[in-house]
Amino acid sequence: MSTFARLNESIETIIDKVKSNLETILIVLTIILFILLIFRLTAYVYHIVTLSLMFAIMAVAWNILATAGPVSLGHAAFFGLGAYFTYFAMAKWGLSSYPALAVAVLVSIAASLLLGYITFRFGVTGIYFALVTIAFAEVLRELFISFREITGGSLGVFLPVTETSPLYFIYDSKMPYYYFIIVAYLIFYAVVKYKLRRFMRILGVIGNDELTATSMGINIMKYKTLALALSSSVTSIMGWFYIHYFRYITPNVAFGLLTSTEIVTIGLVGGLNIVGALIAALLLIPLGEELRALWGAKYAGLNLLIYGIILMVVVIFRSLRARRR
Amino acid sequence: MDSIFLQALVNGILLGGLYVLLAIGLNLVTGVLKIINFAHGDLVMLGMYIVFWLTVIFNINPLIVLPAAFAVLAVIGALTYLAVFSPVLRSTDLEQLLVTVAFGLFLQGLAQILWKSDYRMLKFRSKPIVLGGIFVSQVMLIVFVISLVASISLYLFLMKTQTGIRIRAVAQDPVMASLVGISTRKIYYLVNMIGFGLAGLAGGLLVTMFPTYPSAGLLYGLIAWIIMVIGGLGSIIGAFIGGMIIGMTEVIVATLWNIELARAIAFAIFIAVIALKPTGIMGERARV
Repeated sequence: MSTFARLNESIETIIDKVKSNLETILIVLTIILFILLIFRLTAYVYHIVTLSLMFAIMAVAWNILATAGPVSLGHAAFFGLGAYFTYFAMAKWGLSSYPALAVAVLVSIAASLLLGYITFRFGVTGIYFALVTIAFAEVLRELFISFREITGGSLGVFLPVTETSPLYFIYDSKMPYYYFIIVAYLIFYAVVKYKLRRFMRILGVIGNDELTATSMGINIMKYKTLALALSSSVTSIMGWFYIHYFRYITPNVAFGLLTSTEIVTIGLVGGLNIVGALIAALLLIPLGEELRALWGAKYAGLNLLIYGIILMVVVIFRSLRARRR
Repeated sequence: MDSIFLQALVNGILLGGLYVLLAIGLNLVTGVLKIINFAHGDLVMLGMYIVFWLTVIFNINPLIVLPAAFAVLAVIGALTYLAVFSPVLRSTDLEQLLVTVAFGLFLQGLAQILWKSDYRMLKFRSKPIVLGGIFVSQVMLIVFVISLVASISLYLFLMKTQTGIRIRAVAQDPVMASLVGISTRKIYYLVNMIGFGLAGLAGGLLVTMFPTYPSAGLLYGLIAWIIMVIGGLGSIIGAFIGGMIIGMTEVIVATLWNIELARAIAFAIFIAVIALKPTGIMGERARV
């Protein structure tokens, strides 16, 4: 047990050090990301970083909601809605990318209001909220497979635009996406850190103790719904980004439990701070991608297995640490 | 139209019987260990694969290898208790949920590595019996009978035997139970082995009718959870009611429209039950 305790202690020291030097780490990381551009590395490296930033943003969005208490295990629902409604807006209604973004965000806000009404209105919390979100994502997955004529069924859909065009946010190279996601990340960081400071603090109070929050005159229902709406719209923006980047999506990726679990794992490892999420994503996403690239052909599923183990270990460690305090 | 509806109703009851067995192992584990196990479906998936492979390799009737699925899953149950459940027994519900979701992913990855992600299905044809204009599949009937026998024997085991009484005592109050000399650890091991074994049994019966694939567990896990929540956590009678409701809903909607919509509606019922009556149909205090 003493080795275990020592290991645990050293992990805690590292976490504390990271926490006290967030700004520096962020600046260093951003500089590193831009230095990567000078070296003209392989497209694969930029691809990995792009994916990591995308998941870091979603993990923070997930954490914004988790701060207020509700733990969502179906955040892929909003990611998928963002991606699919971008596709509908562009392929079926002939809109360009940016109006499609507005459509995606509005749809996911509507979905989050529905989910928020069902759950918060009736006081669904804890595991029940988590189970409802899993079921919510699964309902959407089954529906999108079921209505084949509109959604392309389980084979998924292609974004019909193929030539390079800024109007449609389609580029031949991966680099514009890389710039876009770095800038989006920095903007999101600044907004959460400086614009939403008060909001986040109120969410923290609610997450700590709802009764105290109510007695302080905080409208819990309103703030939880706002947190869910904010969280889901950011996640749906990432869905919009994903379908432009890959130009292809299937219901299993869009609404799958694996996508939700990736968001949750990165969110838990990174904690509620946007730099931590980036570090976690930069550790976990390359691992998943490497496993898929190296062993995917021979041992498909190895990434699932490793992800499962990581999440189990992380949660057990967290739980043991929380109980010791 | 009427005969189609009646046909769907009969099939719904038959499927409901299997769903009762699907949920009952989960109910037992949840009721006694008070652990939130979301990996139940993935255990069912393992049971499906075990019966599938034993049937194909030895070319025998799948019903003969059902005990093997029970036994293998029971061993996995003991190992899982040791490695995964016991560290989080006193953690919060959410941590337990996350750990078991991760455990489920682990099992899915394992299944994908071992058996690839192809759909696998037993070729198990039989002549349907005709009863007053209604076709009843022999397979479904046998599966229904086995499920019912297994579920009822679990119920009788818990109610009538010494060990069953001990299990119920631990479920009600582990501290008091250990004070009167019951080893809670042994009971936890036993319950986990029975619960996992029943999941394997349910999987073995499922694979005679439905295909298996590594991510099949999510669907069956959610169905088991839906049934448990509808019936009340840890309530075995509740599992009977919940299983019948979900089985019938699924078959009726699937007969009239299609199977994905049927599942979407089952999940929607689940959300509605959680929102309106989170303690389930069987009332406030759930117990085994």
